[in-house]
Amino acid sequence: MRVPSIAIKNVTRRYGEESKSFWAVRGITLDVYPGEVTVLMGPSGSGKTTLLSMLGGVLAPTSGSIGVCGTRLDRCDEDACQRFRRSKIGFIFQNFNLLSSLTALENIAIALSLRGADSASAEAALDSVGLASKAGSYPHELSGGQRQRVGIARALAGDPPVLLADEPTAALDAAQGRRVMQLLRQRTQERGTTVIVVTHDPRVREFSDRVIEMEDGRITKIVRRVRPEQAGRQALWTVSRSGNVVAEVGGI
Amino acid sequence: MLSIGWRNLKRDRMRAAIAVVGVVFAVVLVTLEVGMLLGLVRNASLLIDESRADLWISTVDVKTFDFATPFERRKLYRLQAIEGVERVEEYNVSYSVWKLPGGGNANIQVVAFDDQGTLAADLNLVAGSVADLHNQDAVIIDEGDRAKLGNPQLGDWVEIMQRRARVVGFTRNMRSFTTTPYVFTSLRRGENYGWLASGEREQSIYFLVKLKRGADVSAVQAAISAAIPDIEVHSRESFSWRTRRYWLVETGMGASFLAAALLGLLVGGVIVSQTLYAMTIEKLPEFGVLKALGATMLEISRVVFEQSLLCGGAGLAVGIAISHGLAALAAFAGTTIEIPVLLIAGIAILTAGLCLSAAFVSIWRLKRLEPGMVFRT
Repeated sequence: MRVPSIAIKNVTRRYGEESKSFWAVRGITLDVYPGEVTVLMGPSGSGKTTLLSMLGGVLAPTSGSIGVCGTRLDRCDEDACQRFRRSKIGFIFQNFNLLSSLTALENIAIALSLRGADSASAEAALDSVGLASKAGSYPHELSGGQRQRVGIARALAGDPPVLLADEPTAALDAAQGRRVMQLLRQRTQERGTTVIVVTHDPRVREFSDRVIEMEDGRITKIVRRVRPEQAGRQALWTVSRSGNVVAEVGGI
Repeated sequence: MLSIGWRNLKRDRMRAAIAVVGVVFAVVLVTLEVGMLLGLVRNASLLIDESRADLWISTVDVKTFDFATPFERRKLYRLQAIEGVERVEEYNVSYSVWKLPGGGNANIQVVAFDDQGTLAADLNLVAGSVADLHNQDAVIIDEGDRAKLGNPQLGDWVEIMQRRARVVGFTRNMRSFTTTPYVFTSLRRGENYGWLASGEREQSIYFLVKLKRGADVSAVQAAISAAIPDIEVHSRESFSWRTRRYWLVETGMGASFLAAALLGLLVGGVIVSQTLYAMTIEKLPEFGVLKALGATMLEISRVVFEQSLLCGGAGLAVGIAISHGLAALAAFAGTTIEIPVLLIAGIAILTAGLCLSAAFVSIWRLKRLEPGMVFRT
């Protein structure tokens, strides 16, 4: 039996005080398995980023349970969450969020050092995203696509089991976005990493195993993609109805 | 972990420079204020500290070296008869007036001592010799006081208390706390040049006492006090401290110097603190990233402390160098600023404290930083 790397059960998140509060996430239940690329889509304010933040252990849920790689994030204190992030999570950000005073290589080395890994492998990580020649470049000397590839190398450094990406292609042109997603997909398949991508970019669907659509803090649709290697020559989209999934679509 | 603090400073040179300037400001101000105070305090008790007397005898309740009152000279003979006393020398200090070439007057302090004796302080002469004081009307002044006294040259004739005097030597750094120039002369000339001249010839201000080898200082002190009424017996150290304490504490001057030094520290501290805080706020998203990546508060604090201490170290080095330069300039202008190694060590500790306190303001802000902010920037 496959064990999910992420198990979310009836999770809610409320912002603000009693009278002025609003619910960003309303009772989401979801399992995500190792080696899967799951894409969260939906309009702004639908709760995607809030859900991603809770999965990354940077935001606590208001109720419900979240288990990621065996850690119950709804129960962990600040120190435990910090240790969890350090060892289990790789983050990729829309605006890259590289440390501006460090070179590309040092940005990766710092993540490795935080994970207690040998920072000498930073060069290999940079090479794996095709940027070995830019090791000594500072973020402001790199193009948007190059910065995002450094961000990916940083997120993948030390092989965290879960990768959380917030709009990884938003600041990139189509070609660069495609390259970034190919890279993510490839690394996922190689290492069995669980990847969650929050995006508005419909082109990202192509690289996913599952597309989850959210609206108003709820999951409105889950679309599962059956890959060619799983279903013959042509990729298929299959649909299931479960929990708060309200619609299904046909395969391609 | 990589040295992010150093790299942040390298990247944001302008802010780093402002923080360093803040530290330099504080260091220079504190060094000069305290150095000037040390210089003044050194001068205050210089003639006591540099003397070779074990005991100083004065009238009762003398508050400071500069303001002593006279007592009968004949007590000297009784003093010489006390067990344990090897040698006694008279030492007179009195205010007087030096006639300036332009017609005006300058107040002076005439220090008259036994020019054949061995107990008075060495004069640190740069011209002339103590033996020259044996000559008729001879006086020695400090080279730093020449301007105040009408720039007399070696061998020039001058007028003190309407009597002629001849400059036969110059001392270096033998200047009074009160800034009234010392005029060194022999006991005999001192009777002519000081206010003791006005019918008080059988009076003395101090006796310097050298004890016999192995004599018990306290016992001799007690014996002198018992034998001679209306005098006070001080050890050299206690009289030095009494003089310093008078100027530092009783005049409130020490407090005002320290207040100025503290003000400098405060202003420098605010500049450093604000600059570091601005650097931190500007890099808030990056600190958020570090938190999101799992950096502990200790690791994040290290970045801020590193920035702060590097600015402090650079500011300290530049500040001390500038202070030494200014002290040399001040010496040229006649003001003594002492910058001993101990003061530098104290200021280094103070600077580290200042920088660490400034860093705490930033760390306090970072402690409240939510790593979740990385998804909102």
